[in-house]
Amino acid sequence: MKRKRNVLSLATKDSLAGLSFILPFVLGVVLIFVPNMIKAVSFSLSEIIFDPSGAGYSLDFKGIAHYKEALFVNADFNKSMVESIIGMLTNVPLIIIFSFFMSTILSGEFRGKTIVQTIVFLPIIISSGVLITLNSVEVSNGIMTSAVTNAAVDTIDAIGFLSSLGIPSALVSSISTVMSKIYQVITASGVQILVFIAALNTISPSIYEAAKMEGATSWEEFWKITFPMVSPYILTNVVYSIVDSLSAESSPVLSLILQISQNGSVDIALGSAMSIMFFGVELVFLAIMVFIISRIVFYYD
Amino acid sequence: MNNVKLNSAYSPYKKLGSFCYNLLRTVVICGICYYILYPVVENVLFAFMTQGDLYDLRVGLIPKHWTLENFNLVIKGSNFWKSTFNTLFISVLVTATQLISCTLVGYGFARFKFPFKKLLFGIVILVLIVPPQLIITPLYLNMRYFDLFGLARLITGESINLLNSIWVFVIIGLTCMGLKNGLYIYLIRQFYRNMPKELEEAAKIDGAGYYRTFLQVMLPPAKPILFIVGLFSFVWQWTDAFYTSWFLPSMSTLAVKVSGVSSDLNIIKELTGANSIDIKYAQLLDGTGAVLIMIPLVILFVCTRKLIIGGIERSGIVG
Repeated sequence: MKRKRNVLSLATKDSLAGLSFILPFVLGVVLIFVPNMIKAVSFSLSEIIFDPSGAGYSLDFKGIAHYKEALFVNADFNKSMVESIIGMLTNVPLIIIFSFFMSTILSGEFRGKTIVQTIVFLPIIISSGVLITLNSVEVSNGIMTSAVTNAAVDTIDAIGFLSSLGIPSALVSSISTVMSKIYQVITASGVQILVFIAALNTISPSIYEAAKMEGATSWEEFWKITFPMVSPYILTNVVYSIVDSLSAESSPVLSLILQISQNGSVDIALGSAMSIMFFGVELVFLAIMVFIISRIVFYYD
Repeated sequence: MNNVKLNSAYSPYKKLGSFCYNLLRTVVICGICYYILYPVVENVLFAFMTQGDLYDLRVGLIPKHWTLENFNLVIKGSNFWKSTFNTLFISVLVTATQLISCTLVGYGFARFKFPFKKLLFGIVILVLIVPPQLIITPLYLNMRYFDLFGLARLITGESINLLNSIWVFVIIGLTCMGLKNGLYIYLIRQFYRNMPKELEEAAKIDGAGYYRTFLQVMLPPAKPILFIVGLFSFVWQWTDAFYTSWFLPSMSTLAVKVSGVSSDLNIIKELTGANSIDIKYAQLLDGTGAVLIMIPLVILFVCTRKLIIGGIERSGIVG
């Protein structure tokens, strides 16, 4: 036994140890992830018939009927898919810009910094899981006065004011969209701020010192040092924000899917077909974004 | 030329500039804090209002008649203490299992070379981006008719029903398939990737094996990031109604029960004697429930904020 172990080269030993560390994940992929993905696909292609005795279920192959139904028969699917995607496309850039801005502010020194940090990270808690629906009931109905509805009212006033100044209505309406998005954006950027702060802290101060000695202005420092050094984490944050905004329970298409899949066995299949299509769209968007952003990303090492 | 530029830091223009910057920063920070805190404060204050205050136009934010009636109603309606205990139990269990598995996996990805590493890490990201709604139905049926390689059917003749047992969460947690586990693996990997290799090598030369090196040398410095990941995992499980309502349908947990109070007319009827509930009061009950769910989390967060923020700043997730 001992002799046999000595035969293994160091590299082999290393890779075996590495595999043993990631074993939980490999097990998860092999036993849970892949079988369930395959099942989800086969559900979407067939009808599920539950055994009346409760011993199991069987599948009846239907082809792409459910996909057709989702795309051409169901009234809500296309609409809510477009809604989700538009929401994602408007939110993600705002989240990235806002969280980058916040992290630069928070990594500077000022009075009351700890309090501000605590408040800024609070949305990680108060906008998670069921809390966001409990808190946003008021928003959707717009009856109760809340910060959000107040903001909406203020926005309407602002719209009136801006259009009375003669500003083009297209511009005004885009301004008002941004304003009404502020709350959503602030509450969705906790994790991203955290990642950016960590990234900013990795930049060695000596780089800035050297730049200053060479006569760089703060503007140049930002574009020539801070931005490139942080750019890999912009990619991380973009991916995370896209995923987060598309897979939030409040996103229109997922709440539609959830509502459908809880109806019964026929609709489980329809729900699977919808979520597979949605996942496909999500992948396409992620691929495009990663492709674009990886061109501006700069890796230090 | 350079000298002139450096000296200009003391010029009045520069002073004015930095004053303007500070002013702008203060205004922006105050605005953002207002945006975040206002709904919370409002929720808390509304929770103390009587139903009459709600319709009184003269009552703005501060309740006229302070009352604990709403809290009583939600606490009774949601079976609060039992739900809290259950939620605490599940959250601690989920946090522990996910933390163990994600730390091992993150460390493995950061420090070792093995075949298909890039592909496997791609799968980590893929697991993160698959919407939970896609995988939840097959997973649900899997757990309902649980059968590992057909073993159970071979021994007892039928599959095992794992619904309503916490084993579902143990299995999902230990195999890194829980909510946002891809994010945790990513964060921990990022941390370890940037730790100096010398520590590890020294331990190896002193004769420690792979696992001993990990436990005694590599684990202690990772405390801040592990704490952050653990906190995320705990908070997201505490407020999760999605997984619990699928896998533990008959166990009462906080997130599920509290959000059900305002829509369950039977509870309302039993507790208030009223036959119906109007939408405004239902929202007030929802808000009260949100306050009850939030309180422990906010206390936990405020008590540990130094650890979290210090952890990010001192050692950095990235280094």
